[in-house]
Amino acid sequence: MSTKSSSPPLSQLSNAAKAEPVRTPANKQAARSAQELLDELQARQVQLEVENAALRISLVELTHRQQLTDAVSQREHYQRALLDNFPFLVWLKDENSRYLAVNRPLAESCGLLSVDEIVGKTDFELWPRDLAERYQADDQAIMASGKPRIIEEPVEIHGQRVWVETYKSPVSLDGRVIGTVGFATDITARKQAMVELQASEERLRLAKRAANLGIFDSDIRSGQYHWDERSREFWGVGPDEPISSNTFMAGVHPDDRAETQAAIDRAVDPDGTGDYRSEYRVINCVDGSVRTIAASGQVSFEDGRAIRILGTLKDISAQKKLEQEVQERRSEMELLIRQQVAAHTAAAIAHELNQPLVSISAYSEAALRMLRGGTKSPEKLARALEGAMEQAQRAGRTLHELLDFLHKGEAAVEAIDLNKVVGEALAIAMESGYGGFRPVLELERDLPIVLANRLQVQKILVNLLHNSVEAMRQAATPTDAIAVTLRTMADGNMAQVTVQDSGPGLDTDTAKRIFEPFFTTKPQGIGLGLAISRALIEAHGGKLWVDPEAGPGATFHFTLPFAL
Amino acid sequence: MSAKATVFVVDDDPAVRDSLTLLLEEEDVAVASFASAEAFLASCRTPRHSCAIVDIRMPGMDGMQMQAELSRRGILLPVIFLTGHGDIPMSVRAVKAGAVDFLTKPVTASALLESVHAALLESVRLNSQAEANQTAAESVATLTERERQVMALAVEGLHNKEIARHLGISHRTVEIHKARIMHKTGANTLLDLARIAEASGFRS
Repeated sequence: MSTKSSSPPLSQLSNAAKAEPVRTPANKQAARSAQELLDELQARQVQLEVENAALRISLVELTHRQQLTDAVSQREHYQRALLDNFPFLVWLKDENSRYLAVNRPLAESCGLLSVDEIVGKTDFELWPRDLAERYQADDQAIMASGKPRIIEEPVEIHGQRVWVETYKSPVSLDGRVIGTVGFATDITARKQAMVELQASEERLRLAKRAANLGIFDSDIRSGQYHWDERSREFWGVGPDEPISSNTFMAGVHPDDRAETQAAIDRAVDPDGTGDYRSEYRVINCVDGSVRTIAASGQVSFEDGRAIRILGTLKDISAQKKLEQEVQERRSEMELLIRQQVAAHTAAAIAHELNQPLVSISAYSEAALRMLRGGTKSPEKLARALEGAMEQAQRAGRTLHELLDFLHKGEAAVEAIDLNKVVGEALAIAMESGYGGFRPVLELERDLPIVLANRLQVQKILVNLLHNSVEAMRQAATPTDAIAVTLRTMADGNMAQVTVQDSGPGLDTDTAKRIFEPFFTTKPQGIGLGLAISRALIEAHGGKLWVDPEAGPGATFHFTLPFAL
Repeated sequence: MSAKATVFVVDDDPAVRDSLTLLLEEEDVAVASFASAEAFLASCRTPRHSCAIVDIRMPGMDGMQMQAELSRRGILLPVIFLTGHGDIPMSVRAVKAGAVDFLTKPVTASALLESVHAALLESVRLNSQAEANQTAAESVATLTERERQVMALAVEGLHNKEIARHLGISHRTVEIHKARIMHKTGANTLLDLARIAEASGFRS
């Protein structure tokens, strides 16, 4: 506010005064040489001395013993220079607040450029009335009290008010107060900084409140902890209670202490980054309430030693609770899906075992009837018994395949590269005696890692490949035309895998029912591969579906969530 | 019943077809098996004494659809459904649509054969009824327009006098028409005539 060129602040004026000779173009009179000024002052002082010895003594307590000699003149010269070159306004007033002497910055600040012009004047002649009254009242009070004071007050420089810090002191001569002396420093910048600091602190306070943040500042060497109001609230510590590392640890939930200490130890390690991050529960020592706190801070080091940790504390209890609820709901979902898988599996097993059982039962009863009726055809009896045996074996195989499928599914979820698993499944499918086919790979490069059980995904892919190849073979597709396209791509936060064949595709009815556990189009098929595959994919958080639009062959897609 | 009864087995599982065939052949019936409903419908020449054992769930056309197609074609064939699991709503629908029985796999020979015998009896009944209807329809077709008018009023229970008044003809003429109607249809009583009229699908 005081930096306009038309009204330079005191600091600038005093800088100008420092330069000798002064050459401020805006102020030609000020360019008079210091010598000239000093000469004048000297002349004035001589006059003063003649008139009033006491006053002569009081003038900077230096001149009263001076003779009108060149040596003295020289000394006064220096003193003048000393006074004029301080970045302060300096003055001496008599007991009636009449100026006896001032330095040049003061003369310049009130626009009267010669120090002589001020001498003999009162504040009322130099300053606006309100200020002059104020100054005189201060002078009187100081002389009455006999004690110096430091006051912050406004002054008007070139018509603009700025803040100064003023030192005012009574001046005594032989125990008698003869006037006052003072000097003033421009504190506009300081005032401004104070205002800004206050605003900044206010902003911080508001931000802290908005973010629900507490702030801590620990001096590691002295063990002094500074906690703000919010931090104290978490622990249940009063505003004036001293805080130590014991206070801190006592509030941390016993189960979380070791980990919290470890986090601190890591942070203060001089070889580390000094980054401090920790999450722990805090038990309020007043009401016993438990909060989850996320602490985040930075350690300062000096000479390879940690000296200070400064950071914030955030109450994340609500967030934690929400996370826990989401986790619980997810667990419920997973349970539900597992139950569904179990139900589907049971239904599939029932279906798969029922088929051979129908045959075994019928073959056996036919055989029994033949024997009882005295069979005329041993060939028929043999056929019945063979049929029963084969079907029993078929049931056994089915069971093994089922168990195989399910047992491999018990392994845990891991981070897998889908493209790699596609390759593995392809190798298995091509070697497993389903006959040759031509694979077409369209794999997305740098596909992010997905979370899934590798063997299950592999099994699902092999199943889809077998389905495709079998369907094409059943439709009498020539072997060299049997092609299966395997595609991987990223779709949002999911990876999508597509298995598309070049066969006849699926009719609407088949497409609608293909995931039913009882449904199969294969003469000898397990008939439950897709039902279980879908349940497994869903258990992974993905989807498995048939795309009736894509074609001409059958197109299956499934998705799996990326690891992050 | 001189002709050998025929049982059709329609199931996509070859082992089920084969084993049921062996079992049924021991019962001295002819067995013809089909791997799908479509294959069966394509070669369907149902002899008078026959029934079908049909898997309700098959790829392509399922058992229920096959049954609907048979009735659309006016083929009178008792159907026994086999299913892998007891699906009550489905069995209700199947029975309403004319299924003779609904058996859950695996089925015992005695239950199956009992059903087969019942189905074959039903087949005979359906066919003889159809034959009777056919005969009745044929005889009704020989009636003159006036005779049909008289018959319509007679089977409604009107007396000769009322019929005469209704048609504006003499009582005597009604009596002559009636005698001719009874002769042509072979009915002995008015009740016989009513039955024949119904069987022939006659509408006044």
